[in-house]
Amino acid sequence: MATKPKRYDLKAADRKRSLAIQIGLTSIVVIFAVVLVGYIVLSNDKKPTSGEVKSIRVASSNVIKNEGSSDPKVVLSLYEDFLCPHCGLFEQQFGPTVSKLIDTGAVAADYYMVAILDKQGNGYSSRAANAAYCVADESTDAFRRFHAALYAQQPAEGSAVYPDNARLIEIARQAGAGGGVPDCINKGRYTEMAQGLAEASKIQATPTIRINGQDYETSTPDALVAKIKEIVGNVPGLDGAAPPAQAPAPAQAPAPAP
Amino acid sequence: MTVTAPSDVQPSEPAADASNRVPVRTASAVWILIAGVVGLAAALTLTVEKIEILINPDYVPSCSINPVLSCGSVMVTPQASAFGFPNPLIGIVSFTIVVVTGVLALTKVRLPRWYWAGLATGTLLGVAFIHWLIFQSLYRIGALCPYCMAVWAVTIPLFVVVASIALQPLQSNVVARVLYTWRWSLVVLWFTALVLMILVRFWDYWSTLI
Repeated sequence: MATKPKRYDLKAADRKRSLAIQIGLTSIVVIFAVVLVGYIVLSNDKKPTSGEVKSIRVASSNVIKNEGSSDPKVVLSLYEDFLCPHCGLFEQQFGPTVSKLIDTGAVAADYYMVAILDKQGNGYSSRAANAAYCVADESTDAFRRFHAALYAQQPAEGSAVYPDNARLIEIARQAGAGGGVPDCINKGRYTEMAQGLAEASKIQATPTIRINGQDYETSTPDALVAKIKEIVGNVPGLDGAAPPAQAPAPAQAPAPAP
Repeated sequence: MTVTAPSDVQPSEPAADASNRVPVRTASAVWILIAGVVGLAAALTLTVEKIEILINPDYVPSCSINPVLSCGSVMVTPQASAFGFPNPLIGIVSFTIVVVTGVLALTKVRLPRWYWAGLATGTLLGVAFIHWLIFQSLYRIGALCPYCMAVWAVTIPLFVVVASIALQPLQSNVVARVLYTWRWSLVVLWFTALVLMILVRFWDYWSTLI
């Protein structure tokens, strides 16, 4: 160990012992640290429980930030239930505008997928919300497509058949989310969290829209854009609201196969 | 610092200015050489990849493996040009010096103490710089670049080896003695801490791979 020239070493045994002590003690500390950190990480990895509030942050990289910080200037919070018809209507009317607001960097959107209609929908609300969080863990872009796809084929409240988990996994796959998503959907990792989310975030109805934490009454997409512009000023590319999406036309008899 | 001994360059008489010329063990010399070669290779590769990106912005570097292990996203950040020019250029210059030092030490050329002190100072600056880069990479950029990590990995032990050589006069100091005795344990613990930080920081991603 020492940088002395080698010579006949009377203390060889001593050194061997002290080397063993060093290696032993170091290994003990390393193992202890790994186990401790591993334990903390793995216990955090458990299911988020009811009462937790977790959002899905969707923001472009050029989102306008508060000066001197990395916080977006406008956080648009959307509390939605995948089964609620008004949320479907909101998505249809405002969805393209919200997308535009996100893509131009005017806002960062926080989606809270709540589940308040489990009774009416035989648990579909929480399963769909869970699936959305699972997809968002994988990729935010996939979440945006998944979110749009679920509303485009939204089942009616009280209809007899709701998309099952296999169907949700398939939609997630089409949205570009694979990996651990099927497992996450089947295990219902976020189901409980979604069920408690409405209460935990103190919302009375869906959809609830909040701008920087303040409840916002929606009227028209143009009014929403105007409201955002009041805060962030003019944003390149954000001239006005986007035209609403085409109605999914539930009245049409046979829906074309996706 | 003037050498008062007569300019006796005979290799058979190293004891004449032994206080100024530092002997280096072969193991240390090999360490220095390996660290220099690995660091130089990483710095060279990063520079070449940087040039490729400049030529073609769509170029995907060879080390962009997945969202976390990706040097493309790291190399285009401002932190990758901390002093206004790409960091690997610093690496090319400094690791070249390390390689030369390693070769000299390995061939039993006894370099003066001030040289080792200078190299230790430079390596200390390097250690400080890579820790800043580690912090930026983990908590500001949110991606790891494999070649950069190779540089992190060699710089820390390199500093320990070079500092051990340069600080030999402190042998009688108790604190220095203890630090010296436990230096590799400290390095192991340091690396463990870094690895755990990387694991925890990107656990969301690693856990999807399991």
